[in-house]
Amino acid sequence: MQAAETIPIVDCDVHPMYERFDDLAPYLSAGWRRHFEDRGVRTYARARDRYNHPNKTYRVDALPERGGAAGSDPGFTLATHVVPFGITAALLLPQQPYGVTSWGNSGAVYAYLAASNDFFRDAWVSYDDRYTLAVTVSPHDPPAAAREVRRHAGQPGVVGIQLLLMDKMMGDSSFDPIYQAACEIGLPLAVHQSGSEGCYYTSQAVAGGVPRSYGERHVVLTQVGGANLVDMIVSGTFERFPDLQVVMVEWGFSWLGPLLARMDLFWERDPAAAPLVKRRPSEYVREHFTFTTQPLDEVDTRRERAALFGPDGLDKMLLFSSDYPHYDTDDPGFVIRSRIPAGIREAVCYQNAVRVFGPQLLRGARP
Amino acid sequence: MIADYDRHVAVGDYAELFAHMSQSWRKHFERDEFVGSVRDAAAHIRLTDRFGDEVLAGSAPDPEIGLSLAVPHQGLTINGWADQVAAKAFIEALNSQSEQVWADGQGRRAAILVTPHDPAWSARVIREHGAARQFAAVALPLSPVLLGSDQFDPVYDAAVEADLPLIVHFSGVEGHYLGAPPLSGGVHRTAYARAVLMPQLAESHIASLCFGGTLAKFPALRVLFSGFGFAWLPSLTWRLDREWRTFRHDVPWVLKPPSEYVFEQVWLSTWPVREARAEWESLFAGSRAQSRVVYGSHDPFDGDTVADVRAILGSSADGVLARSDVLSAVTTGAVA
Repeated sequence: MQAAETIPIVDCDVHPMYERFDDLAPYLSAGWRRHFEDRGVRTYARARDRYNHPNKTYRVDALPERGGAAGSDPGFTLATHVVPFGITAALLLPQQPYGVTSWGNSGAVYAYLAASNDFFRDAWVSYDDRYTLAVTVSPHDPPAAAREVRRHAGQPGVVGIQLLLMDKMMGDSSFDPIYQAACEIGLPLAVHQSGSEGCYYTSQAVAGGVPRSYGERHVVLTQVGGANLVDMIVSGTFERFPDLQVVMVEWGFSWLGPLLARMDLFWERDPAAAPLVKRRPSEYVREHFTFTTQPLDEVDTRRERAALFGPDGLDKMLLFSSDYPHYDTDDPGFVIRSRIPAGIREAVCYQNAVRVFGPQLLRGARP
Repeated sequence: MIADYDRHVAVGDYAELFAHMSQSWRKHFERDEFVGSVRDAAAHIRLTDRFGDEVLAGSAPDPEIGLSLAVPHQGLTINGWADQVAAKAFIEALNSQSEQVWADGQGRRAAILVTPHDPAWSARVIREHGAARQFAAVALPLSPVLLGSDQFDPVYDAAVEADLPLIVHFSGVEGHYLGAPPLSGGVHRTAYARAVLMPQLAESHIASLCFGGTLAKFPALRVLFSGFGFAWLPSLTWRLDREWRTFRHDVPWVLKPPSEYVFEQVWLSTWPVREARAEWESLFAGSRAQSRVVYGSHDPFDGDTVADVRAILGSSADGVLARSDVLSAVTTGAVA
């Protein structure tokens, strides 16, 4: 079952959950505790009356033996995922906070996010040094988000900022306080689908219209990742923040090669059409973006596999991820051994991740 | 014979269309701002924010081209119009212009313009013009309803009955005008960003045609996505098939992997061919995916010449340039 005994493996997409809202109570003021107890807490972002998942969103074998939701027991995740696959570091991206993308009360959002961040730091990152955390912030109130980012500066095991997306794309200058804070404390952004995409006026959409079913929507959800990438380049974000790193989680990457070629072609034809872009768009992307592997496209032939990993510079831009404990988890043993080409395996399994998240990512490495 | 499936035609002055309108519609359209908006249509199709671009009515075709399919792109822009009733009078006038001026029933053919906002009317228009030798396709502008919706079934019925392929081409107002289809993400403020992301529209509609069951329901339906490039197709078919494998019980009307439908019923035109150099080499040349690609010059808007296509696609270019299976046998037989 061990994926590769000799190299560290960083899994850049593992979802932890708190088991019950009471877990957050110690981190909330009495006032906010009463508010949430009175009004309830919506912890899912996808409109479930609009896109119902046809099965279950989690793996049934990820349900903890002690009970509770998949991903709610740090010991069980360790015993069934981290240890068996020889994972050196698991980047925790809490998913319950994705629900705030449909909240309107920004005071409640930041009280909840701060409590959630502190809970996962104490209950998971302190539980085992193979767990590392991206603390979550939302775009409701960028200055408040920047304060939350700075609050976690220098904390052991906090290696990134999980930025949630709402209607504004990532090139919008309203994000600048968040980017400034992230650069100041030297942490990358991690941006994961929240599930709200294509559901609300307050979320971003896929192209063309409203996909009919969950699976059809899932085919084209990747587009939102591409749109935000383009928006950051066109908006000159990396001219303003030359140290900013963005980790795109679960947006796929097979669309990247054609998109970069198109960006470069149209920019070369008319550079004045994108006046904030000072050099070839693809150069910014290769310097500032990384992409996680899950869900890895299931190619049919060796030629297709070579092409999937073939785009120029992709070897430096890919980070391994499993998406445990979700229904479409990529099996680390199979994907690393049988799908990631040997020539880029070390880069994808840990070297690129360490470059982006810093050496403390491997604080849990066993001798 | 080389066929060009993406040749744009336009009137230099909207007043040229008045001769094809009833007196009352002519009176409606005889207004300065409508007539002046002919320059807006030219800017839209170019995906540019440059002001005052010339209206280009077309250029002399490459002598190697034996058949060209004219797309009256001004008619596509109705997907940004507020008045969808007037839009029908406008595109019918353009259809008359095609029949009388732009197409000759031989090497110059045109696409019948219809509207996504009135499928029953569109089906009647297809049946009315479909047998005329001037027409070789149906051009359906995009609305915010994805093409897998069964509200378009009357259009598909009529297109299949007339043995005409459906052409889907952006107008340029997508992601820009209210009521037109959105692009992905949020609001894209530059025409450059919209141009870069335009292929995602084709992705979404192909996914919808597959997962909505349209291609299964109309096995004789042929759909050409034109002007969107094609290098992204393998990424899309990998994702389509993966999601179908995971959720096929949720869409039991999709009877086989979606890529199978795409490889039989969907075509893509080449423009802009320069963006596809790497993917052509690594994924298309000599593969099944190559069979989906037909030549589209996109002339006269930064178009690709036959020589451009040969330069990028190399030894497999001639197969692409000669491909005609998207058209009906009647059309190709008449030209040959």
